[in-house]
Amino acid sequence: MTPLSQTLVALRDIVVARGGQSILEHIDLDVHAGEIVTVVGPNGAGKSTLARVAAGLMRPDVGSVTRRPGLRVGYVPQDFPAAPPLPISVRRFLDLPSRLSDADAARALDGMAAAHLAKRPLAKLSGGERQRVLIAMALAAKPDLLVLDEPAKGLDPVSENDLYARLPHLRDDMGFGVLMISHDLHVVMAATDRVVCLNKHICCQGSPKDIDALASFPQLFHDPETANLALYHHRPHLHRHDNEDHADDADLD
Amino acid sequence: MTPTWIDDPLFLRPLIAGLALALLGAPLGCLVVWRRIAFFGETLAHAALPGIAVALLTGLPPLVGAALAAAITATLLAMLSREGEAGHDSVLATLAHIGLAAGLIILALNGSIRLDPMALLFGDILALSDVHVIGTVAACAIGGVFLGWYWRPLVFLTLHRDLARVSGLSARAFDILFLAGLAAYVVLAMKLVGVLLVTSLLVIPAAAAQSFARTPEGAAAQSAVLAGLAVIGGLGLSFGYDWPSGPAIVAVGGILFLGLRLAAALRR
Repeated sequence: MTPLSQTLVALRDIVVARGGQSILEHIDLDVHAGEIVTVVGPNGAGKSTLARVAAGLMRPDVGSVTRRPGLRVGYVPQDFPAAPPLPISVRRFLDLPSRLSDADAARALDGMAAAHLAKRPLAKLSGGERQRVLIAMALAAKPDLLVLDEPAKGLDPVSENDLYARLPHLRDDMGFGVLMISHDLHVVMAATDRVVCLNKHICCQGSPKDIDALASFPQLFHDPETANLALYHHRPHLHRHDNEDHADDADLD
Repeated sequence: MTPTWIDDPLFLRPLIAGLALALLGAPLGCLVVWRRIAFFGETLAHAALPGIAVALLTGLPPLVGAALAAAITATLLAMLSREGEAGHDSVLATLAHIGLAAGLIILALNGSIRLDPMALLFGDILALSDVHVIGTVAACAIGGVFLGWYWRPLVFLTLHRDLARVSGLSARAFDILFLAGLAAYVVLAMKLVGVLLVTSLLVIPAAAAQSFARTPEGAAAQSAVLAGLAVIGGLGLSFGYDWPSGPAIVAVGGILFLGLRLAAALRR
């Protein structure tokens, strides 16, 4: 990522409320070309709403969303149905909304190691296969900005790790910026340039290392009593192998 | 020996109009089934009844009255329902039955209207004129061109609304286009099978085709074949054995539906 890289989408003072409940409060967030931004936060923190606002699916009640003119967005939703309402194969799925050349389709599927799924019906995919096809679908649009809402949902640890290992390479090849929603910071750390901690408002942001080292960061969510803390506290099985000391295991207590 | 009614215009007119409606109804019906809005069509058809009654009272063509009533109902439903839904079950059922009741009351209280309510409810194929047949075929052809042109976006929006929207499609514009087309189809098909049976022409072949199809287009094509068979079989029974035509078409479609669904269930 170059220091003066292009801003793909700029959110300014975003406020969203539904039914008297505040969902997002005064969010300022930029995503630049070639940058992977990961949003973490507890359940109900407004992560998916933020993704939908950035993807252009939802208009905020207050605030402005400025997209680079002609910006192409690829989006992976959290809720794609396991049983789609209509019969369609993976290859034909990629032909929506307009026909995709076989070469482009193969490239998109290859990027997610999903070439062997081309002829399978969408309804017959496993959770992990479906997720890979959805990301391939988003890649097929040749996006400038990729918005991934919990892309590892339903994946086993191996597939999850594979996805996060793949993402920086795809970013390097295609040059897009990524806005990714995750509930688990530690697994996505290696694949992230910048972490945004969200709990309706932005509590903190910085490099993964800074955020990880920030001992008080769970407290920033203002609900230290909740079980959500465990998500940020636990040491994952697939942790990065740097020479970090182990003091941070204790200092949250 | 060939029955004498085979080349009778009284048989050929509904056959041609029916096949045109079946061919257009197949892809349209698939979208209706996939979007789970079968009851929406039902409500449009029922609500068209008072429109027809009022048109007859005021001297307007019945088709115009039906179209106006359907347009008003569709607009009401679009306003009353949240985005992406074609109305809640209860709202749809209420409007459908209010429409049916209002239509029958208007007809009953105005003795001057020379119209058989049964013909409205179950179709009146003997009343089809050449003009009506030509009009139906032309309208179906235009509808088919539109549907073919917008097929992919409609399929995408049906499959996953947000993915389609991110790709740049306007969900609201396509909703309005689709529902308007559906309303127009319902009004056209009413003459053939009647207010009570019009959605069965859309839904039954499409539902039957879902068992074996692997692509959206495959489902539409299979549905077209089944709908065509239902029209041919139903009209044959109607002319050969005096079955009422609308119910006969629906009955043949229903038998095809049950047969295919059972075959699919047994194969599993």
